[in-house]
Amino acid sequence: MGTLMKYEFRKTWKMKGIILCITAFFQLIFSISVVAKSDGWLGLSVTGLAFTAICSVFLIGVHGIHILSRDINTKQSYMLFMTPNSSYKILGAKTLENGLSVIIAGVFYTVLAIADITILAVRYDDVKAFLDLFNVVLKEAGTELTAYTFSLTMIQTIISWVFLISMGYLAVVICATLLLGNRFNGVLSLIVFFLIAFMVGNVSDALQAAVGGFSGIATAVDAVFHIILTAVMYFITAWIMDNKLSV
Amino acid sequence: MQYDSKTPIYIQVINSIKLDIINERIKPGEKLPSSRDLAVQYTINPNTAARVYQELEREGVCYTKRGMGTFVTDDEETIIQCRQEMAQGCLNDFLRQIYELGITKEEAIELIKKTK
Amino acid sequence: MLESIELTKKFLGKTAVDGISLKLEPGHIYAMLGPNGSGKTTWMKMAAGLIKPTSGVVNYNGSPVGVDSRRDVAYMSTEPYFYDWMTIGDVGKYYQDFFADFSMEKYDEMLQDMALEKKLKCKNLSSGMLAKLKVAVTMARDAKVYMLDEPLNGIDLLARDEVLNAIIKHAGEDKILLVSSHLVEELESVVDYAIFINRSKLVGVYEVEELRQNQCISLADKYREVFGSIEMGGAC
Repeated sequence: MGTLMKYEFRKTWKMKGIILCITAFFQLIFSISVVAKSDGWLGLSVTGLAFTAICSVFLIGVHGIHILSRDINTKQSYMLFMTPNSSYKILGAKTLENGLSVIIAGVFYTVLAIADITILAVRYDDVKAFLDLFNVVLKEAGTELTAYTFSLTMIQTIISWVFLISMGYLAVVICATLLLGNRFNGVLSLIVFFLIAFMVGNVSDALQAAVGGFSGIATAVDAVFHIILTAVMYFITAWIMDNKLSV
Repeated sequence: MQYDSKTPIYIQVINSIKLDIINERIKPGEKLPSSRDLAVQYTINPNTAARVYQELEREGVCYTKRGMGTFVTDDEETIIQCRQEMAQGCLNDFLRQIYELGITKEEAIELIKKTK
Repeated sequence: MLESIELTKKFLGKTAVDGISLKLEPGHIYAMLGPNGSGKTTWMKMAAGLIKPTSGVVNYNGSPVGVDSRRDVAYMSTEPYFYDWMTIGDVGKYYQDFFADFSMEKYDEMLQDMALEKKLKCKNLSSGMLAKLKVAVTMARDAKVYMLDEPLNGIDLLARDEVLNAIIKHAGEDKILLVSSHLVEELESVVDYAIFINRSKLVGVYEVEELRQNQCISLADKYREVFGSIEMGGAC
């Protein structure tokens, strides 16, 4: 399993390295402009950082789905499937590597965002005033923006994203097996993908409403719900691979 | 080595080894390659190579020392006899072709004498 | 023992392998011969557990091929399959990571024999070099079953000798070797048995020396007879 994950990481490290470089670049500009109080550069770096954060978490996941597709649809599939590893292990390594990457990236950007916002609030009175005002509005809605609530939201987003990736895996595998040779292969699996995503989203919302809105407990419940669903997706996908997949 | 298409490969390899022994390219009593090396040397199947040594042993051209390998016989009689057998084989082939051309044995002898 | 029973594979209405029953025993080298597109590759991929049969089964030592049999089976596909980022050295490391029977020493030796350098990138190799690399890395395993799909394709004469030598050296009492090709003559002296496949069906299994001894006909001539419907040989 460790070996499989090592090679999964080997397939993605280049992209991750580039993302890290871009982040470091914007963070450097941010740090310099905070010290130099250069508003123009500050705006650019904050926009850049936010954009990079969202894009990278998204890209890492999509890239993982793309790699799975390549690993079952091209001749490179032999590299994995001629080794004495079951589909459960192969897919498990992919899910773990990609899931962990997304989570680590998510946590990294969350911590970075909290740190940078804190710096801004200390350095600029305007920002602090804005955040306070923002919180007044939020309090009306029954919540507020603190490091804690921000983290909770991020955790929820990341975990539901990991679940969506596992669904992407399922869609790719269904395309390569059950729908193989079907003319509407791509469209059909896309429809299935959105249908399940929509249903799960609704159930998740209902669940949260039942537990009582936005809170630590609600987040935990939602996280567990998504983790269980991810596991279910994983087992279904691996089962199909084991029984139906010809590479 | 090129193999002709009608004779079993093991017989062709046997003949080639016998020729080497008769010409003393392989000396009496000399150790022969292992059957795997023989297979590589002649690009033949290892089972064919094993069969080559079985046959050569049966004819007394070779013998096996346990754990040491296969060796060419020291007995010169056997080698001389081997040479005669092969010569006879060549003659038979020659005569068959000559007869097909409608040439008698006597005419053939004359032809051989004239040929330089 | 590797055995296929009534093995059939259909691809979208086209039958690639049609009810082939075949038994391969340890201690022999088999050639799988037939024109391009006759079903050799598909049969091998099913035996390697890469493709699922439509019906029928391939058993290795009595149980269906799958994850466990891959430990013992060294399969070499005819198409290159290495990752783009790999160097020749990386390919060796990959095999070492996944196959307990892989020997890095043997690999180094074979690379040297075939004049391949470890630092070269797979992406930049010529087709001949790739073909040699595939053979080297596959034969560096000490497997129980070797299945080589068209190992002689696209390589020069000298490399052919290397490949044939590697095949001969790996044969053994407990090993099965299966080599597919559409070049009959090249394999004739090396194999004990030849499996003829035509239009997805098994034509027959012939013992090379037996053909010569009893029918006075070479394997190549038998091939011409079977596939070209030309009467050959006969006169012993």
